[in-house]
Amino acid sequence: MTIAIVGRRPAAWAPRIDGPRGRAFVSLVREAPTSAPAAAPRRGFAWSQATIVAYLATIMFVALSIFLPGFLSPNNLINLVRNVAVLGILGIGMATVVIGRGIDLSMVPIMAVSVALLFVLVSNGVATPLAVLLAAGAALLCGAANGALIAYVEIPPLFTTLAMGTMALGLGQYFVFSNVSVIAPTAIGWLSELGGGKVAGVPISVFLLLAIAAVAHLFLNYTYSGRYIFAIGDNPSAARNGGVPVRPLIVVHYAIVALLAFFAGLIMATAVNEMNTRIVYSTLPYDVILVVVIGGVGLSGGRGGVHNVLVGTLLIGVLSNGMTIMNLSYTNQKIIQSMVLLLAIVIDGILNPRDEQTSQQGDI
Amino acid sequence: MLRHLFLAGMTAAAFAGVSAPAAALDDPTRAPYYEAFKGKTVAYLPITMAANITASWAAGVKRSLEPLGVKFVIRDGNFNIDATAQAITGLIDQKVDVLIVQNTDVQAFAKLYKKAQQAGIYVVQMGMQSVVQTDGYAGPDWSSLGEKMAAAAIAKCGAGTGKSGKVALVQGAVTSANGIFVTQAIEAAFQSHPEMKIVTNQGSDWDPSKAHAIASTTLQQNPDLCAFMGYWEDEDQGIVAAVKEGGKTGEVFVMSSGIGEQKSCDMVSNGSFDLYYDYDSRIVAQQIVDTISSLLQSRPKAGTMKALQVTPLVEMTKASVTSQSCWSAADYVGNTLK
Repeated sequence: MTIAIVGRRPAAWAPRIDGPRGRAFVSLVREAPTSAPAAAPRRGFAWSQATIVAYLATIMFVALSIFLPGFLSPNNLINLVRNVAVLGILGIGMATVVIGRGIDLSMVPIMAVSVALLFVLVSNGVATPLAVLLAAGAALLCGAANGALIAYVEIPPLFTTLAMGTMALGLGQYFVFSNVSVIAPTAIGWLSELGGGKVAGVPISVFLLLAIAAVAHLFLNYTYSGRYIFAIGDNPSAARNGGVPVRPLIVVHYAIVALLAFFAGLIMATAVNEMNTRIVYSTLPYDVILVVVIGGVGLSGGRGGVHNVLVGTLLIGVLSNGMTIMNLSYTNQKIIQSMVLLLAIVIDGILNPRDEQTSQQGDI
Repeated sequence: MLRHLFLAGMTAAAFAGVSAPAAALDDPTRAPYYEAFKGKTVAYLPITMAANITASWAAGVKRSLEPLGVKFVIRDGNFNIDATAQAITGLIDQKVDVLIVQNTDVQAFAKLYKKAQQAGIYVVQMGMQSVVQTDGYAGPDWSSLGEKMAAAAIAKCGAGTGKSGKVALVQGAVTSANGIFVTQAIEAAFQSHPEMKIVTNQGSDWDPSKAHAIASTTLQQNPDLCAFMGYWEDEDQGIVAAVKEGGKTGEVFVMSSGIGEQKSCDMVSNGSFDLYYDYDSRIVAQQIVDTISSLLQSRPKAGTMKALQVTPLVEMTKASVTSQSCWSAADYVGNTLK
């Protein structure tokens, strides 16, 4: 499989991909940009789910800025993004999988176990670079196994990754760590900057989120492999018949996503000097799917992009930051958060009703 | 000659006299003691086994009871309340003799405890109690921990200190005994100290990342914050990281508590935790054993005895911590649970 840069995406593609219910359209032959981009889908774009969520986030942002002293301070805003950076990175990985009509429930377990493995290796005297390679390799292996089972054995991704997540955690608990919290050894050195470091007053994790978002956006939109993922998500059989190397691509895709999970875990763990493997039992695995879906990436595959994830992540970030400042209790935070998310889905349901044309096989 | 014979006879008789009663002398406590334990089954149900706190309790209890002929079984709840509930139901059917349970929250398992005791099974709670009192509880008195923390906060941040009096409570699970009783005690103590203000009171669900998010946001909002009151050493790592990032180490007073492992001593020595309360796991394990031991020996009707074993809270500060203050769970557990 090669990842080739195609060059700038023809303008004619854009509305079809970004449209609310538009299908990802993959042409294996480059089309000449048309002089007049289609106007109709742009109207629809104004009210896509991503837009609705963006408006909701903006309304909340403005309201909090007015009514909550200290919310608008630059430091708080940096803080806000930093606190959702890991969620965002995991969300971007998940989004690419969902666009390819898959789902990866093993991201959080793989993240927890691979980082715990890294810490344990370093604690036992393995040199940090070698330990990073080994831990990343373990994550990669889990991801590739996911992909192979999905692509070649044809087990649905939901079951494959659910089982892989449980297995990774079980193996980790048996062989790697005995305590839910694995403390970061001081010997990891510069690695701790990933989560704890700052450049020009901005946490490095914020830059990493933006960098990964940019790379993922370019990958999805400007490489053959990225476009193929849309094709697979839209119609796997058609993609295969059209010459897309569906199976190898799925294997590589899940492997890369597992690597991304390892990376997100590094940021999460080095921020607090500890990998809390209990995170697997938290709401994080669902939150990751949530920011993907709430942002407007359809679970049926073939549509969406990085901007959807960022919008969803920001909504969660604004909400939880505002509620923490207001000192709302944990339970109330959860209630309000779920109500806002439901509201976003209801508005989308009203503005973009599902019908035979817009619903897709596999829609959940 | 006769005299010699007589003396010899007397001596022999004397020796016989000494030795004969010695053979008959018996320790009346010994046999019933071993009898009380022999063939009994004790089931251990922690929230998770993948934690040093529960692993060290288990190791301590197992090491004490197994040599007495007790069958020690572990049912790992793995953070799943239903799994523990099912395990309890199963163990009641199997008619085990003692259940040792760690409560996820104060309401959990209340009905099952009643059912177990009706079936004649002793229920000993450990670490975090439920609102239902059973045959025994071994672990810290959380209200007392809250009172101590509140007193420390008042001394550090209250009237006359020139500080803001603002404190942040970063709880673990808000529905656990730890969350409820510590918080209640702190709030009660602050009633008579209007200068003390709780600016944040939130649960982190034992997650250091969530604690980190709460702590960093709180610091951002309250640059004059005086103290963080953390509820559990693992999650409090997030508080420490946030304080460090904000450049507030030494300025904001950080409190924590836990089982007093070496890493906690290190955190106290390097100034990450300004005040730490230790409830040593090895003591809790012994208290669980003591409770079970007295239950099995005196055999009261299940549900009639309400024995409490309160673990002492040892205060640690940079000044008081020594090389002997802490211990290693890995060494203590060893191969016991393998």
